[in-house]
Amino acid sequence: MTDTTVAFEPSIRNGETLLEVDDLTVVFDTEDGVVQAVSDMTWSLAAGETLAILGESGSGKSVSVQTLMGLIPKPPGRVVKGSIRYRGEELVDASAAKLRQIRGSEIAMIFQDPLSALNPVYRVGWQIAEMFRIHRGASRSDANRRAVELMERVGIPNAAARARQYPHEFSGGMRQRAMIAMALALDPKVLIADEPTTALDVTVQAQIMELLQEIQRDTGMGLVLITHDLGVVASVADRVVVMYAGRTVETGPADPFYAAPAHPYAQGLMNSVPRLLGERFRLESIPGSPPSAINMPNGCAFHPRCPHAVDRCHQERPAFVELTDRPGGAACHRTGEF
Amino acid sequence: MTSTESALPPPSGAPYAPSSDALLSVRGLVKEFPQRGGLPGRPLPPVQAVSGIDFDVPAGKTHGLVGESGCGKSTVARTVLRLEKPTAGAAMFEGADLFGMDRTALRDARRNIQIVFQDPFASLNPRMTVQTIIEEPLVIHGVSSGDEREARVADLLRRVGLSPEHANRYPHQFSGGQRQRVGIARALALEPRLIIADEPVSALDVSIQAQVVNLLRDIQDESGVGYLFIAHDLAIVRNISDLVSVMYLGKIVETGTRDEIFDHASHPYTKALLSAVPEPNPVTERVRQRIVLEGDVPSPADPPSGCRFRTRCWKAQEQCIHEVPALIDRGAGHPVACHFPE
Repeated sequence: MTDTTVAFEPSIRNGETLLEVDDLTVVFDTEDGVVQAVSDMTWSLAAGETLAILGESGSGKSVSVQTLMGLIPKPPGRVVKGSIRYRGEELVDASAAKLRQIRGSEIAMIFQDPLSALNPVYRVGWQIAEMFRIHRGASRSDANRRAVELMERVGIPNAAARARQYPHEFSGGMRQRAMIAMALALDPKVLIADEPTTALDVTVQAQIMELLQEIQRDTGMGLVLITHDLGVVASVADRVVVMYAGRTVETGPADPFYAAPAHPYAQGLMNSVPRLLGERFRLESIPGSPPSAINMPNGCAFHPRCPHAVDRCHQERPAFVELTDRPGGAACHRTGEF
Repeated sequence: MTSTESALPPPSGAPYAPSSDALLSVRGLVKEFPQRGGLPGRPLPPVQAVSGIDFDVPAGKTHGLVGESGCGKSTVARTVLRLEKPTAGAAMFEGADLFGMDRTALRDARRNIQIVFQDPFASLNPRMTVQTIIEEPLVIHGVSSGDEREARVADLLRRVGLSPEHANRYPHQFSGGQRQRVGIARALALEPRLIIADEPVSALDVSIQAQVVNLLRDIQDESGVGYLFIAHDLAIVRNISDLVSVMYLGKIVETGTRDEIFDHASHPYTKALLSAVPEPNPVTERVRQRIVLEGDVPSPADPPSGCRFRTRCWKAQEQCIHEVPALIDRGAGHPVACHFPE
């Protein structure tokens, strides 16, 4: 089965399409062979829209954005096929100069661990002000003033005083706010957040998600949230992309997806999440573990763990098809049967 | 370590008497860490990691200790095991005073108290085979001979859902979830009465978390082992616990049965914590009233006077500044350390 047609879903919001990832395949050349990090991945993002890319570790959920941000080391990484376009402009083969111009000012990114993304020996305010000094040629005092304004905007109390502190003097939540301030400095049109709340306590998680939503409402930027946590993005995502073993297994608008996921993996994931409300059931776990990227099962990569697998699933990789009963698509031979 | 007498002091807030069937009873536990630095004659104040807490783990039951990072929950685990020296307080395990024991007695007690750590990558020696890792407790405690041990390890591996062929492999050949199973097999090797599980699933993927939580529940059903289950994830604590205590800045703010805590929370911090946990359901999420706490957790080296939560509490009043709220039943049916519970 080599059919790689992927349902291309129009964005829900009618904003301008900012990012288009089309049929992207990225591999890594390793001593043990060629590892498929992500295969045939397709998604798009419009202005004002929030796209959640969901998956567990090793699912390839971060690879497409790392590729577009130029964060994949090449070698060993290689884009085998596909394209990534920002407002129609191809990024896969773009020059370093072109990428530098787009990164930061057009597309910004925040990470899971803000401590490793901040320089420990410079004051936080200085690091934020650097964005204005380098990219906008602002004077020192002007840049510092704008940095403090930004810190206020992302909810850092006593911003003027906190600007003179070092990253280690900030709590985890405050560091993530500082990272968000830095990402917003140049008014990007797209913000990519890779597990932005995973390292944070639950009460702080809620604060950060609220902040991201508020900023999006104000600026109309497109937001890509990459996470393993189905709960954290439930209330903010417009659309979801679910990844398993380097492939998209399901996409669709968030509400119907959460109400009734179509792919058996997405169903299993949803049933694995312990709940705070309702009856306390025994968790329905997915048996086994995800396959190694070097030794992918034939056919559907999920078949060894799938409760619904039939012979066909062992031999033939399911094509991505649109769902019949609701918007969205899934890569499963038995879509709609359960 | 202050108390060597075996009589258990009364709980600091006297909320409930130590139950006679408690496997582990902890009373008035305090752990402070001295800080280096400061000026001559003006040393820095100690970090008050745990400031006088009481709890019981009944035999065959699970007591969940839940709180955010820095609340002292892991220090409780380490102190009960005497991996850290307690500053004050008492811990009784099956009637014996853990903090008053000499080395020999402690070693015997530790046969019956095992720990499962958070990080299955750091807690297994990469140079040892799984066989060596799991049989190590058996060797140290001299409980079985070579042949028996091999059979016992095979048995343990099967029990945690691995296969006996895995015995000759090394930790790096396993996934995170499988490693945590190895860690659990090692903890089970001596058939302990109590397992202290310190964030046992928080490093694992969602689908694997569910497997390990189910495994822990099955093991308890089969063997009657008691768990002190330490975690920051409230939904997981709800799934596995019979009793729950919520910690904030070194103190228990609310304690009770699972349903009392999750269905009838009465401390503002518990309420805020519960309201912050997102559910994978956009429809209920969008309409949910979320209590967003202001600010950060204060430093445990300089905790607020009175109620430690008052600096972030929307109900705080004058009384909260001056008076430490005792952990007592204030009409909610379970103990709450708040002057103005809901």
